[in-house]
Amino acid sequence: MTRQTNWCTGRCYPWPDDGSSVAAMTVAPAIAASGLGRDYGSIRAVDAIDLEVRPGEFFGFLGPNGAGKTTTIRMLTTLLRPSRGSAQIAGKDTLSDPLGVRRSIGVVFQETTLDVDLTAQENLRYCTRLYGLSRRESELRIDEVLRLFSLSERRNERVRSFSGGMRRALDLARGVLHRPSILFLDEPTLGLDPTQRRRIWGFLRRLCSEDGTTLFLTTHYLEEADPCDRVAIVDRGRIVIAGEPTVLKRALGKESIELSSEHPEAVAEQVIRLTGIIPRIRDSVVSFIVEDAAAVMPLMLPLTEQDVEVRLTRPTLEDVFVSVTTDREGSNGLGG
Amino acid sequence: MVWAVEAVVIREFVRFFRQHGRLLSTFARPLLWLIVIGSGFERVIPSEGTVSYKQFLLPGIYAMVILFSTMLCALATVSDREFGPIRMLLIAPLPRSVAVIAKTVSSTLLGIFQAVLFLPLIWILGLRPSAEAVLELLGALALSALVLASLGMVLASRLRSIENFAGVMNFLMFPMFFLSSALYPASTLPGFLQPLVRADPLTYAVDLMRHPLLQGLYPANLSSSYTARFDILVLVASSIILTGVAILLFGEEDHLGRILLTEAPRAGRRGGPPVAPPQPSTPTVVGAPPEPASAAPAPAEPPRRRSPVQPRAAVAGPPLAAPENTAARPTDFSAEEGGSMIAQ
Repeated sequence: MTRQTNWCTGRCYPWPDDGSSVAAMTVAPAIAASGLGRDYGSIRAVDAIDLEVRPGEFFGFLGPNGAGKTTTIRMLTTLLRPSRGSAQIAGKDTLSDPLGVRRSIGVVFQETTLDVDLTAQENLRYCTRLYGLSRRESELRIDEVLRLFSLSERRNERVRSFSGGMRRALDLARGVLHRPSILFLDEPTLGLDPTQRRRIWGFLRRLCSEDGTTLFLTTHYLEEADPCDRVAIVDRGRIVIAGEPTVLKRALGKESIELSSEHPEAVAEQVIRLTGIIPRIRDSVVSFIVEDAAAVMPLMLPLTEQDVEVRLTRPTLEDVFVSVTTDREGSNGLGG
Repeated sequence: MVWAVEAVVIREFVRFFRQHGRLLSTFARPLLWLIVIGSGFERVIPSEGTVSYKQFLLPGIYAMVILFSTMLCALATVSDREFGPIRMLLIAPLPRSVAVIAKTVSSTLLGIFQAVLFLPLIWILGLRPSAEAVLELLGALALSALVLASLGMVLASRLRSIENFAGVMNFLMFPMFFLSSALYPASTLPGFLQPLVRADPLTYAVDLMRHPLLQGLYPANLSSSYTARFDILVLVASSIILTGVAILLFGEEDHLGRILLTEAPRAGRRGGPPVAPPQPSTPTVVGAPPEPASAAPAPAEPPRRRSPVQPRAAVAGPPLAAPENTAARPTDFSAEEGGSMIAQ
């Protein structure tokens, strides 16, 4: 069952080939999965995931809620046994060598893992000891990550008193404490304010570019997935499209027309009447993607007379996301 | 592996000292029982020989301290799972067995530690055991803590949320306490309860503690029912079996994943619009055969009914039946557990 139809234009686009399969032949992949799937009773949470992530790659795993992202991460991190298929992390099989896999990876879960009754330092120390680091080494690394996340001054305070952003930062510090070569992040910036999000993303980008850590992350803040080397969009337990963000965006269409108005529904109706394209509504913005904006813009003229602001932009990853994921709420895709 | 056990132990102790309510109840509960129940029963049950009822009750109080301590540790493991910290342990490069053993060891040590705090009661109540007897008592405390800690881990592997703890309290902890000889010699209980008495690990724990404390002071048939050697054998065997069962249950990755997944719907609700649960695109034609429906936790092991408990003299029979029964019990009631139990 393919879902490569672009719901905006009703046009099919080719699966973008960015040549990754060629590059992957030469280097052993950091993450490899083939036919990975998982059922819960009769519910098929993940159907069959095939993917390959190169060492040092920044890989984004996107999809709507319930698409199977978290289940996939759990299978890749040995926390969940797959119903079918197999996965190798850093060349080790998740089923036959789970310890080897866990030794190479760090995981930042969607929910916190911290013990709120312990201080920041005690939480981190607990982790370094679980990984068998020596006391000296462990103190050095704890100092380092606490400095990195500006938590040094509060190291002796209990996590209970920390704000959501500080807890998230500490969780991330915990995830990289043992310097894993592959880091899994499940919605790492969930519930953070924009400043905190920017800082965490800055850190992740440095981790990837300077330390060569492989990053595998899920997010639904699509604009944040732009810096990924590659993204895969998953829906109903299958990868529906994968490739470089720019390639995906190009494949989608050339230009995006955005109409801002106080009555987006009315504007949407007019767009359908004028162009036959079913647009997407998000907040007060109505948007749709076209191959050639010059041909469509004149049709928008009547709208400009009704205080509608018309803008021409490039398609975003969000447009890709919406166009390939199953539309479950009717034609206008009130996503986001 | 040792460092991991050490890390878990340190964490449990730090937590213990930070939870002031738990600290307070650790001290208050046993003293309350000793003073109130002890004084009340003293009027009803006349002192035998030279031993007062409170002296008779003392081993029972130690058993209670250890029972509550280890069950609270089991509860902490459940809440660890509910609130996340257990993932630090699960994602670390440790075999599941080491994780379970680390938790069992920390629960055992915490139990011993709390019981040791009450050692002065021996002298306060006027008992004068020899140094050797005190050492024997310490050994008994350690063994009792070990068996109850491993029982706690079996429970922790199957309890879904801390709310179920009310059920554990009513249907496991109190019966275990009342059926052991903690408050009165269990031999005075009616015959139909005797199999349960023999299946209760606390029976042997209390019995073993009475040996060094009340030896020669009390009519033999009322203080200890078994030989110390037999008590030790039962306790060690039960600990090994229960820890093995806990490792099996925790190691079962499927089971763990299912428990971890319980919070997935919660996470789904938090962000964005509600989505329909993923449906298989075609009515399962391809793929693995559907897994057995797994909503209700099936009993870990079907409680193998050993036909009538053999006489006490048999060595391996009754004690080995004990852990199985106790392990199966929680799952039995968790299935039919209703709000009424929690409402109390």
